[in-house]
Amino acid sequence: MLIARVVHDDDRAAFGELVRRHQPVVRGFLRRMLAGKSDLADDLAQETFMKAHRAMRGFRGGATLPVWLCAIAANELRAEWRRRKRRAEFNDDEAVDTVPANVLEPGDQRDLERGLAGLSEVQRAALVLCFEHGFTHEEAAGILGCPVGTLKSHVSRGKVRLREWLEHKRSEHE
Amino acid sequence: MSDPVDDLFQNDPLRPRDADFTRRVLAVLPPRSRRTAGRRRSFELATRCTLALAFLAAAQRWYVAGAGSAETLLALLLFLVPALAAASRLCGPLIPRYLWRVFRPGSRNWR
Repeated sequence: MLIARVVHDDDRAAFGELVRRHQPVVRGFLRRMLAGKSDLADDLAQETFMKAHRAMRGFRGGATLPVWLCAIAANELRAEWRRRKRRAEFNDDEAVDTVPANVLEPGDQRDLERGLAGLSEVQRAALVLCFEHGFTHEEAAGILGCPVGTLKSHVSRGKVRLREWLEHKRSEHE
Repeated sequence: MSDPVDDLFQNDPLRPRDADFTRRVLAVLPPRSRRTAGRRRSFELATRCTLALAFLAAAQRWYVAGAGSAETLLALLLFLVPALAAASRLCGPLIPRYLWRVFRPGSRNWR
């Protein structure tokens, strides 16, 4: 088993294989959350895997590895947002770089990204985890650190807003 | 009839995978530890036992000193805090993660 080889023998090839297998989920999740800032998303993904390597001895298999990795990635994301907020407080010139708030603005490219940009961050995270990466509500709630009921409500509200955006976009095309 | 939100996610999946990223992660990992797993576990166990004994000795001293002396408590904390920090750095979290979660219930702060 790859995890055992990493933990007991510090096997770099085994860890490389884990990175190869799980990078689509971690990088995909972070890229969606950072709305196309792929360089920053990859930096956070790299940090996620480094932390996972350090903490792998503590991985007890209570959750699956992708769930555990996404939970680390979500923590990295929160830390990044906190850092940006702090930097913005010290420097008025640098605006806090968030996803554009132009809600329900239909466009001709990257439909999903535009649709997701109109959601709150937690709604976006909930939808991406559940619909794009196929996590269960329980797993997504564990990743985002919220109760399952709250997660379901975020999913439901996010879906409604995305549907509204799609309908709005379709009506503009017609 | 299919769900348009489902379709949206299925039509535009984002799952980046490339060998460069794997290499980049492997390149920034810390150098390999020379200690074997057995030696590392022995070291951790010894550190934790020493820490537990130190804690018991400190508690006994505090009790003998009257269990209310602020100076003794301060002196003990000055000894214990760096000791706990060092042990946690060397051996990983002193409180297992599943226990730590008990103290951090509720939701995280999503903006």
